[in-house]
Amino acid sequence: MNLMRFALNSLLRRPARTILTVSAIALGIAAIVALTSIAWGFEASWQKANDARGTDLIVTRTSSENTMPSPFRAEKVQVVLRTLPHVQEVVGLLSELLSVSADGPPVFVFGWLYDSYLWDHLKLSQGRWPTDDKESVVVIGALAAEMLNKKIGDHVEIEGKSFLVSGIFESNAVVENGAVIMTLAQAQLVTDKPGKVNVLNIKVDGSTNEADLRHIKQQVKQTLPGYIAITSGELVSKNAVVIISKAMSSATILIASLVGALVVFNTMLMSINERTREIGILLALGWQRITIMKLIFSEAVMLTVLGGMMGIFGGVAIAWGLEHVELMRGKIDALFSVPFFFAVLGLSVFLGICGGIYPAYKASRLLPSAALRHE
Amino acid sequence: MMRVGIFILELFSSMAYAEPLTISAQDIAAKMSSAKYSNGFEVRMNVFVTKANGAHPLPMKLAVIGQMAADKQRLLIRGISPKAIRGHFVAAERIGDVRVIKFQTTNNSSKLDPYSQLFNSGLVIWDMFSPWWGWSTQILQGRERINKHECERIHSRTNDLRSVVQEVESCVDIHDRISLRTRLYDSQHVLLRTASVQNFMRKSQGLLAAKKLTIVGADQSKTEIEIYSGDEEYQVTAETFAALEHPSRNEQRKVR
Repeated sequence: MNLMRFALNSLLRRPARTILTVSAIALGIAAIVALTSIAWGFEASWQKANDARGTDLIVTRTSSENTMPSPFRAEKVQVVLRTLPHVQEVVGLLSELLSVSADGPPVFVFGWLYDSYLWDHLKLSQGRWPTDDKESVVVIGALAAEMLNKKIGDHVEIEGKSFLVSGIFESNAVVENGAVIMTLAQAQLVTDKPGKVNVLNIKVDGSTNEADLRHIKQQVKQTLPGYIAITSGELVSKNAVVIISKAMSSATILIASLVGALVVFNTMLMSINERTREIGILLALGWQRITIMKLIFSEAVMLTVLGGMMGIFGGVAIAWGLEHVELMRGKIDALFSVPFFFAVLGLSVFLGICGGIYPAYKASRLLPSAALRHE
Repeated sequence: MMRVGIFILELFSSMAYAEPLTISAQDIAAKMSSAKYSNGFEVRMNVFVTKANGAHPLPMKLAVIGQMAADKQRLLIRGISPKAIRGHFVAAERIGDVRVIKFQTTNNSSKLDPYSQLFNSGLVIWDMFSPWWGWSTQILQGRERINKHECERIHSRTNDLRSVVQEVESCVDIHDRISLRTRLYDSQHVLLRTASVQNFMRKSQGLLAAKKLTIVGADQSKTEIEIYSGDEEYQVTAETFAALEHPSRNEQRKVR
């Protein structure tokens, strides 16, 4: 019988404890997988939305750290931005998280400048786009249409004003798929923010390189005090929700790791105490101390590998479930990757090794004569 | 050893609690008055009312536009939804002690007592001006901890017998210039209502503002208010407070 089979049999001899330990580890790993994938997914989804629009730089207020940056008057800023080298287009965007039905959850409502490049990446699946910026119509994402139970010709009420649903679109970004989009002029009207935007999107010409982008950022800093030009990734990483969700994810990793290591430590220590005579017999039969250590480590690693795998499945299921909760639909898009799963499994094994160090050392230091006398 | 540890902990906690306050109640009141100064702001809020009998009227959405200066303060509260209050608004102004109030519904305009409840909720326009920070009597009453925030209890009292509210007890987070809990009493020291802040948001200037607050009335009716949108630099135009410019004589009221 090889060492691994021996270790496995030891675990199977105490099924209740093994199941409890694996479950505790699986719960911790599931929490890590779910929270981390949601935090990353939230960030990636916003970045995907910004990137899909073809925006190279975003200009916003320096104090903007909320989900929706503070609105500002676009006109003067736009004039300055248009004079900067390589800047091809400067387009305003206004966004709010608003309820569009009496009983439905709030959705993102975007106001995009009519006929600007922001609309180009959307695929219209039904209906039509707004014909001008005076028309009180909205187009809604496929996911939003499903969530709000709306079709072409229906009306949605936004901030007390009725809008006709003229089209349904699809986007690569879940944030946009779950959103309602109208022209900027209509959004400014309905939210009583005439001439205001949350962000200005800058599109640069094809000859622009990284150094040019840095130069534009520098120029904005110097010529527009209180404003900042950043990439979509930088904007998203400054977002309070992203910062909080990442902090929560890090805290969960820390707590789950500590709990996981302690669970393994406790289980292995109890196991050794119960198996003192058995270990004494193995030592008396000529097992080396290093082999005893390997046995304990093998058991700890088996527990954490199994717990880690179950936790990964559990975490994916939790994230999937949260994505489909009414309140969260269209707002989160959990992001998974094979390297992430391996990293989580690696963390789980690491916990097993950490939790097994002292029990393995303790087992290997047993004296056969004393162990055999142990009741 | 453990006793020593407890003693040290107690010592530190009492030191923290007994930290002398270097600011007077009048100074805090002055700071609270100036904290609301703004060339123009707009907040939009969801208002959920629970009546004393447990009934829940339809949730409301209101927009509040304000312009606050030391000499003149103006507010416009506009109904967004449901349909029953859409287009209705209340315009109010405070110049010194005087307030001019106009209540406009879809079809007619009328006068409105500044102490009456707006849109059948716990919102009272008089409270929204927080005039008690200008009262002559301000007394510090000690420190308290509400929602993990340290706050100073301040008792404000007026000598003006015409005022429905005679005393106000606030617990103020001095650093962030926000009252975490405000209790309003009448001349018999009967509690009229309590406004408590549950959740905060950080304004661009760095100070905290209420994001979620609850007003509990004397009859135990509850009004929960949640801010869902805001503009700290709202562009006030000539039309914004036009309702206050030429109100008819019977729509004017002088209230101290």
